[in-house]
Amino acid sequence: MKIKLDAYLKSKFRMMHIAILAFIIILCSFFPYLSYVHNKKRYGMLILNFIFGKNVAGGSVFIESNMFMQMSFLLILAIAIVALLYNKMRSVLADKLIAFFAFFVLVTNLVYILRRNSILNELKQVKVEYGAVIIVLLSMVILIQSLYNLWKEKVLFTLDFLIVPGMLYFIINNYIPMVGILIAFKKIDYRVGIIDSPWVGFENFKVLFPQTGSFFQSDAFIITRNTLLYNLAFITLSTIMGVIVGICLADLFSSKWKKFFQTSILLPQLISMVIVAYIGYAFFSNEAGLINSMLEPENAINFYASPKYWPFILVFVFVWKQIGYSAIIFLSSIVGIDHSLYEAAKVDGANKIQQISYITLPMLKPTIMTLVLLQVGRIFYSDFGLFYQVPMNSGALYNVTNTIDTFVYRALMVSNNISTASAVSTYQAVVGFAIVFTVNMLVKKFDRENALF
Amino acid sequence: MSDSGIKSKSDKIYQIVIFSILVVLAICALFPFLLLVSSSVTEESVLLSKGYSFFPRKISFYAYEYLFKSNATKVLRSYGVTFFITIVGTSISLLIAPMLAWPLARKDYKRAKLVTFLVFFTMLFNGGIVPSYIMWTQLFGLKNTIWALIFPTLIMNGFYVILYKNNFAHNIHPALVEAAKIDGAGEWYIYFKIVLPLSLPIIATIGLMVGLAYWNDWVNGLYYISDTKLYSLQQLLKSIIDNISALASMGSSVDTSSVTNKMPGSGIRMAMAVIGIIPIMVLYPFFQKAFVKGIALGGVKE
Amino acid sequence: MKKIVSILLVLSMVSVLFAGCMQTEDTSSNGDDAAVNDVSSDEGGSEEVDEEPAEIVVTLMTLAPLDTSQSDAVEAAINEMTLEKINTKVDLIWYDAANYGTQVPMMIQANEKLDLMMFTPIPSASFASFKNQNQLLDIGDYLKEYAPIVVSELGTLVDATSTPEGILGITNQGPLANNVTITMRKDILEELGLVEKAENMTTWSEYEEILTVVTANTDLSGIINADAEGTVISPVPFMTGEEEFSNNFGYDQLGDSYYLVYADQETDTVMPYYSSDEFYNMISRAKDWYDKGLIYKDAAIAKDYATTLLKNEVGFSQVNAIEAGAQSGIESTVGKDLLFKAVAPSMLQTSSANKWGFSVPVTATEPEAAVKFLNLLHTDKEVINTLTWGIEGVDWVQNDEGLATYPEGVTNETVTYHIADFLYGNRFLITPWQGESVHIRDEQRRVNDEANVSKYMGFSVDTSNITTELTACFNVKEQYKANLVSGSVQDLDATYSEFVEKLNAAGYQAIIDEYQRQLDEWLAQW
Repeated sequence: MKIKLDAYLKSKFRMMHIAILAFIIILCSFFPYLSYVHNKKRYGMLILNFIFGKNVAGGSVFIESNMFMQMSFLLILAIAIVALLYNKMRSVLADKLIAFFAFFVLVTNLVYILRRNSILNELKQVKVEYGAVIIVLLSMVILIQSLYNLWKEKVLFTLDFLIVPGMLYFIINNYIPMVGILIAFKKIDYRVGIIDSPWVGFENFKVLFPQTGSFFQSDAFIITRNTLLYNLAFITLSTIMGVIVGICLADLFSSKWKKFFQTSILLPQLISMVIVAYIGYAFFSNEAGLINSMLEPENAINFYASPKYWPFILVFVFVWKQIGYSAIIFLSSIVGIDHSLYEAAKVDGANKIQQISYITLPMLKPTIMTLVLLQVGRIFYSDFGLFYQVPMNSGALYNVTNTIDTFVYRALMVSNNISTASAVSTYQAVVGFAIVFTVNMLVKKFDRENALF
Repeated sequence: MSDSGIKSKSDKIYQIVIFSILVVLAICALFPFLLLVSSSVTEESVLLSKGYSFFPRKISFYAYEYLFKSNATKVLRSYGVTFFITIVGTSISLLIAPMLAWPLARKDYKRAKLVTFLVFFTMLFNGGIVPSYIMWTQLFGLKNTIWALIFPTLIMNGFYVILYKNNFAHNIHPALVEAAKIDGAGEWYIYFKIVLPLSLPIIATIGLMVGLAYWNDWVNGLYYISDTKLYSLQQLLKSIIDNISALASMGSSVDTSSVTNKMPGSGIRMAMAVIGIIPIMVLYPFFQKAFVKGIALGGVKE
Repeated sequence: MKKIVSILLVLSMVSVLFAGCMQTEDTSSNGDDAAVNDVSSDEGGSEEVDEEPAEIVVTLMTLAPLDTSQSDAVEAAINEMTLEKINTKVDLIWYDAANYGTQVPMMIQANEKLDLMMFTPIPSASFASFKNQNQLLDIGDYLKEYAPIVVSELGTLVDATSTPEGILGITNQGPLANNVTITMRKDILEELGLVEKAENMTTWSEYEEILTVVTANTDLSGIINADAEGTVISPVPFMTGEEEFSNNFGYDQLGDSYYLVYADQETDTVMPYYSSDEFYNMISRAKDWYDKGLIYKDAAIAKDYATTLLKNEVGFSQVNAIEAGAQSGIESTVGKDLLFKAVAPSMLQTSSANKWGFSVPVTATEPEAAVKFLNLLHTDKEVINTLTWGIEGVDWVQNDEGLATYPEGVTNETVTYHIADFLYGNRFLITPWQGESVHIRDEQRRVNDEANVSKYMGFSVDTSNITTELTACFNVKEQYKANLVSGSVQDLDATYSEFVEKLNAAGYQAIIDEYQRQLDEWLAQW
């Protein structure tokens, strides 16, 4: 079987079948693509109608000629031509072109079929007809064939195929919606829709930088300062404590206790911040709080109106919740360290502290660096639940609990303006990216291996 | 590290030290639960007037009664939904995320740097909820289906992929891969039969994190689900709490008695939090066994 | 082989071009290139009257999560009625309070099919929010054609949901006046022999005396907060600073949902609320009472408030605006005997008439059908009763007094569908629920007729020039208000002057000026 395949592939008519498939697709122009209902009768539409435009539904609806469909059709022709000229060109180039074109054709038609209801929203009960299905199937076949060729030609590797499912998810879930960043630069007018709304440049970003007052008193400064400082504290503490606890868990002799502790420190992760806020309220409230009921009435502390306690409270709550995860990540790295290293160190007379400093910590360095870099990238983001719910949204504490995210939420609660929300998250992303890029470059200078990229 | 047994005195001291650290942490981690459980069985009026306490001042199971008697179907169904999405979502994640990370950990993979950057980039920039919503709803038609609780956001995260990548890079020696190739193994074989078995600790760890993320999630439900049959446990909790607040804020000025009399009190929040946690607490020890096993297996080197 | 394929390719390209050209030229031809089995080709020209029913999507808010098994029957019943009366299929979607504010705005943002939606007091799904984002369709013409009765019944109230450009929404009809009332635990008053005093109170000092006695003799907090913003004795929009109750009054907040301004009816001047003497008086009194221990200590932040705290024996009384006729309902929610003492009458104003209602979003595809359905909600007793109480005979029956009640064997817990009566459309048409007086609808209508109507009813401000200042002032308010009005602030004068300073820095005066300018313009029109 394999020999026959190779011979066939080397033969002159290598791409003939692709040309034939492309030809069949062209024929499909004459088969119904989609159909709709009008006056209780079902009418068919051809792909040609999408290419050239047509009046349908007795003249009440006009289907405009669509750029994508035109491109798609031209590309099908292009595929056929390339397939025919295959032997005249470098096969790698030809395969790449065909793969590319086929992919575009496939996606365009797929999108049309899936979005038929919104594209043709004036028509009723739009149904997919077999013409469209054939086009999609055949273009898929062409695509697979060309990819296979590329793999044979060692342009694509098996490893490339391994990353496909994952990258497909990222493209769908993360990259396609990224076009939404453009919303930050528009003023949305719902009468014309998002796509046609006017561009306003950086207008929406002004919400972060109000004009009045000095900069250091401005909200922009306060929220940026808070976000940054808290995150620095979080990164430092959760790393240090995570490493310590990870080592403790790894070294504990009794495996029963190990299980117990591991479960316990993970449990705070299960409580949502809303409930954590109530638990906090149980401690800090004025009427019946646990702390105030233990103090003399004249010494009573109004926690929710006294900013000075909150940096400590919030850091404590964060670490309390986070330590389970950090410790377990470090734990799983520590467990992977070769035991013979420790044996050798013991033979050399090293005590525990030395073992930790000279073996465990250096071996953990890559994990630590990675985690720190990843957290630095998100240094302008904050946990909304922590900064909004736990202080019970108390106004008196704003100066120490307001972060960029809570600021935006409070502003948006009144205006529900998605352009502003988008502008702020773009701001957070750009600054975070700049910072992590810089830090990554610095890390590269000293320790090439452990940089992120 | 603990297999050589406790021999010397310094070993004993060390064990005591780390034990004490862990005990302190465990207490810190656990006492809020005491508060939680005790307030879930306290009578509501006592809860509001005297506050929360470690031991219930006046026991009343009204919150649990409300949940399991009049809302039994809702609560049980939301358990079902949550279990389903946790299991399915975590399985999908464990299938495709390490698969993406493995080539990135290979020094001989030409596109490693580029793809790593693309993965990391997703952690920083996002287009906001509206474009995602439009895409998932109109292109994929997920609204009010169970898949809306599984696919958006939670399956994979740049953070996890990079953790996998790092772990693979340091634990899977290139020599091992070389040797396998010489023996004629293909990439798929190497991945499934060599890389995965050796990486059980990290897979277990991240699997746990993904699972917990699914268990705790209410955001997807908030945006995509309006049919109460598809409410997850957390969404049901949030819905009950929010409705209590909404009613309370309206109830003092308009007549909401026809609806309020069906509404429970505030201790309900605590009770719901407790029932959200109990399955995990019950299941975690079993998961632990697999975790420890994986560690034992994965520890063999060279 | 290759040659043959190439020729075929060229031929096919030519014929496609040909066919394409034919299509665009002749729009009403029988396209003969569409030769398929059961699908006939498009005929142009003659237009039959479209007999197909219109389909609309309507979003409703409920107060408790609704199972589809509960709502499907109601939806089917409603559809029967709408198909018959207005040839429309209605897809009803019920959202509970938690989800409504998130999902419905998103439907508009994502351009999903939505033809009729409720606006609610939830900030993200409020009339003001939708209006400010230009998401509402002007339905003036449709209303004239399909819902003329509604418009005439509402009279000037329609202005509250309109702009000079057109009518953007229709408020639900019902009692709109709500007076500031002190709600007190009658049983405690009886115990302490204070009932007469409470009933005859005319000043705040007398109230203070009652509170002092109550707090000295019971564990209860004197006053608890009535809302999430720490309001204990100064509900908005009312001035309660004066000692004598008769000098307290409701003011017109000119549609400002942030309660920053109010209008002096005599001088037609726009005044700042937070820097007024009245406000200072109110917070001074609050601080005074807080220090004396008469106010709930957690008033500024408590997540449970109002009836919840009264019900659970945390507080003795609350001060806030209560809708006419809601007293018995509140009493039954709290579960104890209550005494209601009116303090200040409300002023019927624009914001009284745009809390609950319906609008048509700009993304609607069937606005006429939507307005026809809206008309049913305001004029058709059968429709509105079904939508509110459920299927007659299954979820409710009418008893001999003419009130609605549960059928035999159905209780609060087991009823399938049961919503509140102030949510959908015309409350006056809904059969009152058992527990209310039979004449309540007449009473409610009378309340509206007798209420103080503001000079400025119908006036609303276009805030597009001052959105930055409004947001900034809102942030300042969020930071300071709760502590000030609950009396829990440490140093009243210092904090208060800080508050006013910050407001001024955030552009308070600019807001006042803008409001004044638009008010003067509006008044000049009369």
